[in-house]
Amino acid sequence: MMGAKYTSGPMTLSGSLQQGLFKRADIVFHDVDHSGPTFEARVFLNKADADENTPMDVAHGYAGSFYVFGHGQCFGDLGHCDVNRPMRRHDKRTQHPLTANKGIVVATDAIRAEAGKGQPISVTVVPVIMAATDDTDLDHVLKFGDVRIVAYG
Amino acid sequence: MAALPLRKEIDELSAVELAGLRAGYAGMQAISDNRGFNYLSGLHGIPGNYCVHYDDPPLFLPWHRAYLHEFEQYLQDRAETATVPWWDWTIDRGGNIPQAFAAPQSPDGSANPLYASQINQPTANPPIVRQTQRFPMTGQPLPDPSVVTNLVALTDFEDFSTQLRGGVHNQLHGWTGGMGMVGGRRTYGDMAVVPVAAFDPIFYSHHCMIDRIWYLWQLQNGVTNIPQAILNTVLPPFNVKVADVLDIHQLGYDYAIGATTTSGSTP
Repeated sequence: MMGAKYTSGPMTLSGSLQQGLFKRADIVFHDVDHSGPTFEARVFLNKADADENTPMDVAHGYAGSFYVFGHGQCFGDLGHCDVNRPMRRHDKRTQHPLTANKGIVVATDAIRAEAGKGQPISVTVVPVIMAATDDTDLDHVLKFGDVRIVAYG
Repeated sequence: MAALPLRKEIDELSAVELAGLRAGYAGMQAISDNRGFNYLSGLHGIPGNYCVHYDDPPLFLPWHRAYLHEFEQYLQDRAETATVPWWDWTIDRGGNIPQAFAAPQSPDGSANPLYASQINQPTANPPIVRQTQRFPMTGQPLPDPSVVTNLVALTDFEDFSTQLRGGVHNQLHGWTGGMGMVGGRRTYGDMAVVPVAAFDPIFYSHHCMIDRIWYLWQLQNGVTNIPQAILNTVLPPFNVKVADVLDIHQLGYDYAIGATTTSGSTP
Protein backbone atom coordinates (compact mmCIF):
# COMPACT_ATOMS: atom_id res chain seq x y z
CA MET A 1 0.00 0.00 0.00
CA MET A 2 1.43 3.39 -0.89
CA GLY A 3 0.42 6.96 -0.30
CA ALA A 4 0.48 9.78 -2.80
CA LYS A 5 4.05 10.33 -3.90
CA TYR A 6 6.02 13.55 -4.31
CA THR A 7 8.27 14.62 -7.15
CA SER A 8 10.34 17.78 -6.93
CA GLY A 9 11.15 20.11 -9.75
CA PRO A 10 14.58 19.83 -11.37
CA MET A 11 17.34 20.74 -8.93
CA THR A 12 20.48 22.12 -10.55
CA LEU A 13 23.65 20.89 -8.92
CA SER A 14 26.43 23.24 -7.92
CA GLY A 15 29.91 22.79 -9.39
CA SER A 16 31.42 20.58 -6.70
CA LEU A 17 28.36 18.35 -6.68
CA GLN A 18 28.32 18.12 -10.44
CA GLN A 19 31.98 17.15 -10.49
CA GLY A 20 31.53 14.56 -7.79
CA LEU A 21 33.96 16.35 -5.47
CA PHE A 22 32.45 15.08 -2.23
CA LYS A 23 32.90 12.28 0.26
CA ARG A 24 29.30 12.11 1.31
CA ALA A 25 26.08 13.47 -0.14
CA ASP A 26 22.71 13.53 1.61
CA ILE A 27 19.14 14.22 0.66
CA VAL A 28 17.66 16.05 3.63
CA PHE A 29 13.96 16.56 4.25
CA HIS A 30 13.06 19.33 6.68
CA ASP A 31 9.89 19.79 8.73
CA VAL A 32 8.65 16.25 8.25
CA ASP A 33 5.16 15.78 9.65
CA HIS A 34 4.59 12.68 11.81
CA SER A 35 0.97 13.09 12.82
CA GLY A 36 -0.31 10.42 10.43
CA PRO A 37 0.51 6.80 9.61
CA THR A 38 3.88 5.09 9.92
CA PHE A 39 5.64 4.59 6.61
CA GLU A 40 8.87 4.09 4.74
CA ALA A 41 9.76 7.02 2.51
CA ARG A 42 11.62 5.56 -0.46
CA VAL A 43 13.62 8.20 -2.27
CA PHE A 44 14.44 7.98 -5.97
CA LEU A 45 16.43 10.30 -8.23
CA ASN A 46 15.20 11.16 -11.72
CA LYS A 47 12.60 8.43 -11.50
CA ALA A 48 9.25 10.17 -11.47
CA ASP A 49 7.41 6.95 -12.34
CA ALA A 50 8.76 5.11 -9.28
CA ASP A 51 6.26 3.25 -7.13
CA GLU A 52 6.31 0.70 -4.33
CA ASN A 53 7.32 -2.04 -6.78
CA THR A 54 10.32 -0.22 -8.26
CA PRO A 55 13.54 -2.11 -7.45
CA MET A 56 15.53 -0.50 -4.69
CA ASP A 57 18.90 -0.18 -6.42
CA VAL A 58 20.96 2.62 -7.91
CA ALA A 59 20.26 1.39 -11.43
CA HIS A 60 16.59 2.30 -10.86
CA GLY A 61 17.42 5.63 -9.23
CA TYR A 62 16.91 4.41 -5.67
CA ALA A 63 18.84 6.61 -3.28
CA GLY A 64 17.74 5.26 0.10
CA SER A 65 14.91 5.46 2.62
CA PHE A 66 13.96 7.19 5.79
CA TYR A 67 11.10 6.17 8.05
CA VAL A 68 8.32 8.14 9.67
CA PHE A 69 7.07 6.85 13.04
CA GLY A 70 3.61 8.32 13.02
CA HIS A 71 1.09 9.18 15.69
CA GLY A 72 -1.61 7.46 13.65
CA GLN A 73 -4.44 9.65 14.83
CA CYS A 74 -5.30 12.14 17.51
CA PHE A 75 -6.30 10.72 20.88
CA GLY A 76 -7.19 14.05 22.44
CA ASP A 77 -9.85 16.68 22.30
CA LEU A 78 -10.17 19.55 19.85
CA GLY A 79 -6.81 21.29 19.43
CA HIS A 80 -4.77 18.53 21.06
CA CYS A 81 -2.62 18.01 17.97
CA ASP A 82 -2.20 21.66 17.04
CA VAL A 83 1.56 22.00 16.99
CA ASN A 84 1.59 25.77 16.87
CA ARG A 85 -0.05 26.42 20.21
CA PRO A 86 0.41 29.87 21.71
CA MET A 87 3.72 30.39 23.51
CA ARG A 88 3.77 33.22 26.02
CA ARG A 89 6.83 34.96 27.42
CA HIS A 90 7.00 32.90 30.61
CA ASP A 91 5.82 29.65 29.05
CA LYS A 92 8.25 26.92 30.13
CA ARG A 93 6.41 24.00 28.60
CA THR A 94 8.37 21.61 26.42
CA GLN A 95 7.89 21.54 22.69
CA HIS A 96 4.78 19.91 21.29
CA PRO A 97 5.27 16.16 20.72
CA LEU A 98 4.31 16.66 17.08
CA THR A 99 7.09 19.18 16.44
CA ALA A 100 8.26 18.33 12.93
CA ASN A 101 11.51 16.46 12.51
CA LYS A 102 14.07 15.71 9.84
CA GLY A 103 14.65 12.90 7.39
CA ILE A 104 18.18 12.15 6.20
CA VAL A 105 19.04 9.81 3.35
CA VAL A 106 22.76 9.31 2.87
CA ALA A 107 22.81 8.92 -0.90
CA THR A 108 26.44 9.36 -1.90
CA ASP A 109 26.53 6.70 -4.62
CA ALA A 110 23.15 7.57 -6.11
CA ILE A 111 23.91 11.29 -6.25
CA ARG A 112 27.34 10.67 -7.71
CA ALA A 113 25.77 8.47 -10.40
CA GLU A 114 23.19 11.11 -11.35
CA ALA A 115 25.64 14.00 -11.07
CA GLY A 116 27.88 12.34 -13.60
CA LYS A 117 25.15 12.65 -16.21
CA GLY A 118 25.36 16.44 -16.09
CA GLN A 119 21.62 16.90 -15.77
CA PRO A 120 19.50 18.47 -13.01
CA ILE A 121 18.17 16.06 -10.42
CA SER A 122 14.55 15.58 -9.43
CA VAL A 123 13.66 13.82 -6.20
CA THR A 124 10.72 11.42 -6.01
CA VAL A 125 9.49 10.12 -2.68
CA VAL A 126 7.26 7.03 -2.52
CA PRO A 127 5.58 6.58 0.87
CA VAL A 128 5.13 2.84 1.48
CA ILE A 129 2.67 2.37 4.31
CA MET A 130 3.73 0.20 7.25
CA ALA A 131 0.82 0.89 9.59
CA ALA A 132 -2.47 2.65 8.90
CA THR A 133 -6.21 2.26 9.33
CA ASP A 134 -9.12 2.30 6.92
CA ASP A 135 -9.53 5.97 7.82
CA THR A 136 -6.03 6.99 6.74
CA ASP A 137 -6.03 9.63 4.03
CA LEU A 138 -3.55 8.15 1.58
CA ASP A 139 -3.45 11.36 -0.44
CA HIS A 140 -1.88 13.26 2.45
CA VAL A 141 0.55 10.83 4.07
CA LEU A 142 3.78 12.56 3.09
CA LYS A 143 4.15 16.14 4.30
CA PHE A 144 7.39 18.06 4.65
CA GLY A 145 8.69 21.60 4.30
CA ASP A 146 11.54 21.33 1.83
CA VAL A 147 14.15 18.98 0.47
CA ARG A 148 17.82 19.77 0.00
CA ILE A 149 20.75 17.94 -1.57
CA VAL A 150 23.82 18.64 0.48
CA ALA A 151 27.37 17.37 -0.02
CA TYR A 152 30.32 17.12 2.34
CA GLY A 153 33.99 17.14 1.36
CA MET B 1 32.14 -1.66 44.46
CA ALA B 2 29.84 -4.45 43.36
CA ALA B 3 29.56 -5.28 39.68
CA LEU B 4 26.94 -3.28 37.83
CA PRO B 5 23.75 -4.99 36.75
CA LEU B 6 24.09 -6.09 33.13
CA ARG B 7 21.62 -5.62 30.38
CA LYS B 8 21.81 -8.59 28.02
CA GLU B 9 20.39 -9.61 24.67
CA ILE B 10 17.02 -11.30 25.20
CA ASP B 11 18.19 -14.68 23.92
CA GLU B 12 21.23 -14.55 26.19
CA LEU B 13 19.09 -14.68 29.32
CA SER B 14 19.20 -17.92 31.27
CA ALA B 15 15.92 -19.66 32.03
CA VAL B 16 16.07 -18.27 35.56
CA GLU B 17 16.77 -14.74 34.32
CA LEU B 18 13.93 -14.92 31.80
CA ALA B 19 11.56 -16.20 34.46
CA GLY B 20 12.61 -13.28 36.67
CA LEU B 21 12.00 -10.83 33.85
CA ARG B 22 8.54 -12.27 33.27
CA ALA B 23 7.79 -12.08 36.98
CA GLY B 24 8.82 -8.42 36.99
CA TYR B 25 6.68 -7.47 34.01
CA ALA B 26 3.74 -9.48 35.35
CA GLY B 27 4.10 -7.75 38.69
CA MET B 28 4.13 -4.32 37.07
CA GLN B 29 1.12 -5.20 34.93
CA ALA B 30 -0.81 -6.21 38.03
CA ILE B 31 -0.39 -2.75 39.57
CA SER B 32 -2.82 -0.04 38.51
CA ASP B 33 -1.23 2.90 40.29
CA ASN B 34 1.79 5.01 39.34
CA ARG B 35 4.21 2.13 39.89
CA GLY B 36 2.48 -0.01 37.32
CA PHE B 37 3.06 -0.89 33.69
CA ASN B 38 -0.02 0.92 32.39
CA TYR B 39 0.95 4.17 34.10
CA LEU B 40 4.59 4.07 33.02
CA SER B 41 3.66 3.16 29.44
CA GLY B 42 1.34 6.13 29.42
CA LEU B 43 4.22 8.52 30.01
CA HIS B 44 5.54 7.94 26.49
CA GLY B 45 2.28 8.44 24.61
CA ILE B 46 -1.26 8.78 25.86
CA PRO B 47 -2.05 10.28 28.24
CA GLY B 48 1.33 11.78 29.26
CA ASN B 49 2.71 12.52 25.79
CA TYR B 50 6.17 13.28 27.16
CA CYS B 51 8.20 11.48 24.51
CA VAL B 52 10.58 13.37 22.27
CA HIS B 53 10.86 12.44 18.59
CA TYR B 54 12.04 15.72 17.14
CA ASP B 55 15.62 16.55 16.27
CA ASP B 56 15.96 20.16 17.41
CA PRO B 57 17.02 20.17 20.17
CA PRO B 58 18.39 16.61 19.93
CA LEU B 59 16.75 15.14 23.03
CA PHE B 60 15.52 11.89 21.48
CA LEU B 61 18.31 9.70 22.89
CA PRO B 62 18.65 11.33 26.34
CA TRP B 63 14.89 11.32 26.92
CA HIS B 64 14.48 7.65 26.02
CA ARG B 65 17.52 6.68 28.15
CA ALA B 66 15.91 8.44 31.10
CA TYR B 67 12.60 6.73 30.38
CA LEU B 68 14.13 3.25 30.15
CA HIS B 69 16.08 3.84 33.35
CA GLU B 70 12.96 4.93 35.22
CA PHE B 71 11.04 1.94 33.87
CA GLU B 72 13.84 -0.38 34.97
CA GLN B 73 13.73 0.96 38.53
CA TYR B 74 10.06 0.01 38.80
CA LEU B 75 10.82 -3.35 37.17
CA GLN B 76 13.47 -4.00 39.83
CA ASP B 77 10.97 -3.08 42.54
CA ARG B 78 9.07 -6.17 41.42
CA ALA B 79 12.04 -8.39 40.49
CA GLU B 80 15.23 -7.12 42.07
CA THR B 81 17.77 -8.71 39.75
CA ALA B 82 15.90 -8.15 36.50
CA THR B 83 17.21 -5.74 33.87
CA VAL B 84 15.63 -4.72 30.60
CA PRO B 85 17.13 -6.95 27.88
CA TRP B 86 17.87 -5.63 24.43
CA TRP B 87 16.35 -7.06 21.27
CA ASP B 88 19.11 -7.21 18.68
CA TRP B 89 17.06 -7.18 15.51
CA THR B 90 20.22 -7.63 13.43
CA ILE B 91 20.42 -11.26 14.61
CA ASP B 92 18.94 -13.57 11.99
CA ARG B 93 15.85 -15.18 13.50
CA GLY B 94 14.23 -15.94 10.19
CA GLY B 95 12.49 -12.58 10.13
CA ASN B 96 10.68 -13.24 13.39
CA ILE B 97 10.37 -11.59 16.79
CA PRO B 98 12.32 -13.41 19.54
CA GLN B 99 10.30 -16.24 21.02
CA ALA B 100 10.34 -14.69 24.49
CA PHE B 101 8.11 -11.88 23.16
CA ALA B 102 6.25 -13.84 20.47
CA ALA B 103 4.77 -16.65 22.54
CA PRO B 104 1.31 -15.87 24.00
CA GLN B 105 2.02 -18.18 26.93
CA SER B 106 4.93 -18.53 29.31
CA PRO B 107 6.43 -22.01 29.75
CA ASP B 108 4.24 -22.58 32.82
CA GLY B 109 1.11 -21.99 30.75
CA SER B 110 0.28 -18.57 32.18
CA ALA B 111 -0.16 -15.50 29.97
CA ASN B 112 3.23 -14.23 28.81
CA PRO B 113 3.61 -10.67 30.13
CA LEU B 114 6.23 -10.01 27.42
CA TYR B 115 3.70 -10.76 24.69
CA ALA B 116 1.02 -8.20 25.53
CA SER B 117 -0.33 -5.86 28.16
CA GLN B 118 -3.72 -4.42 28.95
CA ILE B 119 -4.13 -0.79 27.85
CA ASN B 120 -6.40 1.01 30.27
CA GLN B 121 -6.72 4.60 29.06
CA PRO B 122 -10.40 5.52 29.42
CA THR B 123 -9.71 9.28 29.21
CA ALA B 124 -8.20 9.07 25.72
CA ASN B 125 -10.43 10.29 22.94
CA PRO B 126 -11.51 7.76 21.79
CA PRO B 127 -10.99 5.69 24.95
CA ILE B 128 -8.63 2.72 24.68
CA VAL B 129 -9.32 -0.22 26.95
CA ARG B 130 -8.08 -3.43 25.36
CA GLN B 131 -5.11 -5.74 25.09
CA THR B 132 -2.17 -4.63 22.96
CA GLN B 133 -1.95 -5.98 19.43
CA ARG B 134 0.92 -6.69 17.05
CA PHE B 135 1.06 -7.58 13.36
CA PRO B 136 4.81 -7.89 12.71
CA MET B 137 5.91 -7.64 9.10
CA THR B 138 7.30 -11.17 9.21
CA GLY B 139 9.23 -11.95 6.06
CA GLN B 140 10.12 -8.33 5.42
CA PRO B 141 13.85 -7.77 5.87
CA LEU B 142 15.24 -6.53 9.15
CA PRO B 143 18.43 -4.45 9.40
CA ASP B 144 21.71 -6.31 9.10
CA PRO B 145 24.69 -5.64 11.40
CA SER B 146 26.26 -3.23 8.91
CA VAL B 147 23.54 -0.73 9.76
CA VAL B 148 24.79 -0.53 13.35
CA THR B 149 28.42 -0.40 12.20
CA ASN B 150 27.65 2.52 9.90
CA LEU B 151 25.76 4.40 12.60
CA VAL B 152 28.53 3.97 15.15
CA ALA B 153 31.03 5.26 12.57
CA LEU B 154 29.30 8.64 12.40
CA THR B 155 31.15 11.32 14.33
CA ASP B 156 28.61 14.11 14.85
CA PHE B 157 26.02 13.53 17.61
CA GLU B 158 23.14 15.27 15.89
CA ASP B 159 23.81 13.45 12.62
CA PHE B 160 24.00 10.16 14.54
CA SER B 161 20.83 10.85 16.52
CA THR B 162 18.77 11.89 13.51
CA GLN B 163 19.89 8.94 11.40
CA LEU B 164 19.32 6.49 14.25
CA ARG B 165 15.86 7.86 15.00
CA GLY B 166 14.69 8.23 11.42
CA GLY B 167 16.30 4.96 10.34
CA VAL B 168 16.25 1.74 12.30
CA HIS B 169 14.37 3.20 15.28
CA ASN B 170 11.38 4.20 13.21
CA GLN B 171 11.70 1.21 10.90
CA LEU B 172 11.49 -1.28 13.75
CA HIS B 173 8.50 0.47 15.30
CA GLY B 174 6.69 0.07 11.98
CA TRP B 175 7.96 -3.46 11.36
CA THR B 176 7.00 -4.72 14.81
CA GLY B 177 3.58 -3.13 14.98
CA GLY B 178 2.57 -3.48 11.35
CA MET B 179 -1.09 -3.51 10.47
CA GLY B 180 -3.82 -6.13 10.34
CA MET B 181 -7.57 -6.68 10.28
CA VAL B 182 -9.63 -6.55 13.49
CA GLY B 183 -13.40 -6.85 13.30
CA GLY B 184 -13.30 -6.41 9.54
CA ARG B 185 -11.39 -3.13 9.70
CA ARG B 186 -7.75 -2.37 9.02
CA THR B 187 -5.88 -1.25 12.10
CA TYR B 188 -2.30 -0.71 13.20
CA GLY B 189 -0.24 -2.67 15.64
CA ASP B 190 0.47 -0.65 18.76
CA MET B 191 4.24 -0.50 18.37
CA ALA B 192 3.72 1.26 15.05
CA VAL B 193 2.14 4.44 16.39
CA VAL B 194 3.59 6.78 18.98
CA PRO B 195 0.59 7.23 21.33
CA VAL B 196 0.34 3.52 22.27
CA ALA B 197 3.73 2.05 21.31
CA ALA B 198 5.02 1.80 24.88
CA PHE B 199 2.11 -0.38 25.99
CA ASP B 200 3.61 -3.24 23.96
CA PRO B 201 6.13 -4.93 26.28
CA ILE B 202 8.62 -5.35 23.42
CA PHE B 203 8.92 -1.55 23.25
CA TYR B 204 11.41 -1.49 26.12
CA SER B 205 13.70 -4.06 24.51
CA HIS B 206 13.62 -2.24 21.19
CA HIS B 207 14.62 0.95 22.99
CA CYS B 208 17.23 -0.93 24.96
CA MET B 209 18.82 -1.78 21.60
CA ILE B 210 18.63 1.88 20.58
CA ASP B 211 20.20 2.91 23.89
CA ARG B 212 22.93 0.30 23.43
CA ILE B 213 23.74 1.66 19.97
CA TRP B 214 24.15 5.09 21.57
CA TYR B 215 26.43 3.50 24.17
CA LEU B 216 28.49 1.87 21.41
CA TRP B 217 28.69 5.26 19.69
CA GLN B 218 29.79 6.87 22.95
CA LEU B 219 32.60 4.32 23.26
CA GLN B 220 33.94 5.60 19.95
CA ASN B 221 33.14 9.27 20.30
CA GLY B 222 33.13 10.05 23.99
CA VAL B 223 30.49 10.02 26.70
CA THR B 224 30.18 13.81 26.80
CA ASN B 225 30.05 14.21 23.02
CA ILE B 226 26.72 16.03 22.85
CA PRO B 227 25.81 19.69 22.28
CA GLN B 228 26.75 21.53 25.47
CA ALA B 229 23.68 23.73 25.16
CA ILE B 230 21.37 20.87 26.13
CA LEU B 231 23.32 19.54 29.11
CA ASN B 232 21.09 21.30 31.62
CA THR B 233 17.86 20.58 29.81
CA VAL B 234 15.47 18.71 32.06
CA LEU B 235 13.80 15.56 30.76
CA PRO B 236 10.26 15.64 32.11
CA PRO B 237 8.67 13.91 33.88
CA PHE B 238 11.89 12.35 35.14
CA ASN B 239 14.11 13.72 37.88
CA VAL B 240 17.15 14.10 35.61
CA LYS B 241 18.79 16.47 33.16
CA VAL B 242 20.59 15.49 29.96
CA ALA B 243 23.96 15.61 31.75
CA ASP B 244 22.69 13.03 34.24
CA VAL B 245 22.05 10.37 31.61
CA LEU B 246 25.21 10.52 29.53
CA ASP B 247 27.19 7.89 31.46
CA ILE B 248 25.34 4.60 31.77
CA HIS B 249 27.67 3.47 34.53
CA GLN B 250 26.56 6.45 36.61
CA LEU B 251 23.02 5.27 35.99
CA GLY B 252 23.97 1.88 37.36
CA TYR B 253 23.95 -0.50 34.43
CA ASP B 254 26.19 -1.87 31.72
CA TYR B 255 25.79 -3.75 28.46
CA ALA B 256 27.39 -7.12 27.86
CA ILE B 257 26.97 -9.93 25.38
CA GLY B 258 27.90 -12.39 28.09
CA ALA B 259 29.23 -12.61 31.64
CA THR B 260 29.88 -15.10 34.38
CA THR B 261 30.04 -13.99 38.00
CA THR B 262 30.88 -15.90 41.14
CA SER B 263 30.80 -14.77 44.73
CA GLY B 264 33.92 -13.38 46.37
CA SER B 265 35.65 -14.36 49.60
CA THR B 266 34.44 -11.54 51.84
CA PRO B 267 33.46 -13.18 55.15
